[in-house]
Amino acid sequence: MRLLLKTLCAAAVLSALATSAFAATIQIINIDGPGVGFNDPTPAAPVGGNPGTTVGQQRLNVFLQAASIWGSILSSPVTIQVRSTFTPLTCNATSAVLGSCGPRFVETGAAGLEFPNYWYHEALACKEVGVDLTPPGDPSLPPGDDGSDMQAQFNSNLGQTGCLTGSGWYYGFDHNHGALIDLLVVVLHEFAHGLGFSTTTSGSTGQYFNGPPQLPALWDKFLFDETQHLHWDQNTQAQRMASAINTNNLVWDGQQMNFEAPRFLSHSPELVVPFGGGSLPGNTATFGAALTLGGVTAQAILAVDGTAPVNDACEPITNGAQLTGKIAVIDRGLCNFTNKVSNAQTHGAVGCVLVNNVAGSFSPSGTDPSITIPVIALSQADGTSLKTAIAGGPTTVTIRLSPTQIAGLSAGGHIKMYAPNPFQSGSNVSHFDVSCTPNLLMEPAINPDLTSSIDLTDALFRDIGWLPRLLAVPDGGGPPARVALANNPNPARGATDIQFNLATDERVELSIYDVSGRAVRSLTRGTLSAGPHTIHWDGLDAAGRPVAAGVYLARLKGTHTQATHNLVWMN
Amino acid sequence: MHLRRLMLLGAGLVAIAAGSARACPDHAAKTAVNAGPRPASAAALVAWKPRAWAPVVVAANGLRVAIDPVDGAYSMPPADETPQMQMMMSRDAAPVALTRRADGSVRAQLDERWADFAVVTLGSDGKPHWTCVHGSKLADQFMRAPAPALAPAPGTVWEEK
Repeated sequence: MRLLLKTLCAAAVLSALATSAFAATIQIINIDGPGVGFNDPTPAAPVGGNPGTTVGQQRLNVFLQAASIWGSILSSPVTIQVRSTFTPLTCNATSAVLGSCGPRFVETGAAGLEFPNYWYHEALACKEVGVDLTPPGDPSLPPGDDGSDMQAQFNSNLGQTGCLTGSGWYYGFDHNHGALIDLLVVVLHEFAHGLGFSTTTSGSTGQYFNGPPQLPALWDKFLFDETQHLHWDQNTQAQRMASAINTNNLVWDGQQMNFEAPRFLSHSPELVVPFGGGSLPGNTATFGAALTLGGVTAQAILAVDGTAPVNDACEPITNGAQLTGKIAVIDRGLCNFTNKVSNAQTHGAVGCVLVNNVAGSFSPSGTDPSITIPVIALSQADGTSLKTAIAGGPTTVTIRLSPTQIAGLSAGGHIKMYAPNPFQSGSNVSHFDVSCTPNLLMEPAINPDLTSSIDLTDALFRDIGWLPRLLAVPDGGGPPARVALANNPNPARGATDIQFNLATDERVELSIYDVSGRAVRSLTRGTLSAGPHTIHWDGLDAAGRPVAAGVYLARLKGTHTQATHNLVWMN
Repeated sequence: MHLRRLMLLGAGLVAIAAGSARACPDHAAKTAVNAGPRPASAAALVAWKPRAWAPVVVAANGLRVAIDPVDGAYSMPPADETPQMQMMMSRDAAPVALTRRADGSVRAQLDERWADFAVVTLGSDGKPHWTCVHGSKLADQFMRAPAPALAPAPGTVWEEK
């Protein structure tokens, strides 16, 4: 009996409750038994803002944190329940199943659904209908089934001998995960799938989920093929099969996303050149000056250091005098990128082109605040073309952001969905495309630069009905937004810094709006110089009152610039 | 010993249909339940079949054929591969539990075939690279042949050197 009681206690229901008017309560239902999983008593030191003092507590805190983040963003009158466990899952020394999450039920035909002839994930269906469609004790549920809306299970053996040995979970909230795996980001990503960021339609066969009835998923209403000019609830099974591998042409066509994506995603970096098509695509670096639409123009000079390989700038540059006022071209390899660029900058270079030494593209990382020149990274093939041009005579280039290309947007101006050809394991058409910049939480491969930001996932959730669609923010009739706007931290508590980069000196206004489109506060209004800017917001409205927890819109409006960004405020 | 590739022909499809039919045996019976008295606690339900998800056994039905990868000849599949095929078929074709309510709405109970799985493998740089795959089948495939599923895309792989 004592064991039974202990087990029942261990299966306690824990809630993450947010207090915003637009909030949802997400309960983490701990189904682990005593001494294991979420109840693992192994002592642990608090880490990265996670105050837990046992491994089990820290795991549970991460789940609660993820629930709190999603709960503060979504809106539902019905509690969302996530049946959760930390349990041994498949793994070996070099690979592992980290965890999984998905909806436990899908619904169709219920009165109150915005689109009744589609399959809805359970949590969203309950939100729209306004009642719990699978309450505990529902006689239609198997005995003992609590009717939870989602199920999540994560690997408790990760990092132990024989299970991705040497790695393991990072339980902090600050994303300072090093070589470990950031559990919070993984849970945020997988929870999103369970909440509605997925389809029940097969990407590999194109077949609708056949309960019966055989119907498209709500997701399919917004999935659009720009070649077929059809949504997935309009085309045939064969067309959907073809669409799932129609790279760059499978997109999300939702009102809110169409509004938000061009304002959130960045312009693509490019090197303007006097040959070929006139420009070469590139990647930015994590250091150096931010690229601008105007860019930096100068003659390109190949740096030489006299020690093979002679163009890697890892040793003292021997043609430094030629680099003054020019853009240095340097090969990748042997030393850190920051060392190479720093060497070129020391000789007066005004920009730097890094060329890959292996096939493909790359994105240089590193930190060096002393580097103030812009940097762009080219593929090996494009770098070879540039070097050929330089060898042929003076070659003037410009490092800049493309005025027309936005990373992650299709030719039709929609955000691209992941649809590689041939079909790949991650290509269930339920992820954003990997070309999106900045990287997004719901891309199929998670990148180390992600934080707890829910970025464009919020816009997609608005499209499918989780939140009111936000198109009421007054526009002012200016040109389309073409700068990235971000805030850190996001979600924010107490204060947050809003960052953007202006291409030219410009008169701008940065304002905060609430979800209904009402202005909350104007943070800055006036002429700002070209370059990066950081504006601090203390979470107060125009009257000096603390704002309620919830989602807000930061909106930058200028003579030439316009951008909108969702930020989450937590109290 | 030749490696063999299995292919299911029409009779195999019949097997799946047969399996499904066994799992959903009595649509007519549901109608009958609808017409009859129901427990008060289940007043909102037209019918309910308590069918927790479980693999459907289709081993006895259908014809399986192996194609010899060398000469293309059809033959019986090796005995040691047959159970694997049966397991794959059962998992893919297994039906889900449905609840049909009086108002015409329907609820389907999903299983791990519709969940998304985070999977990870150590890259050549010794660092874990994780990706997200849809369904337990693809997660199993990943574990049998773990590899970063995605080509590095612009801006997604940060390199230090």
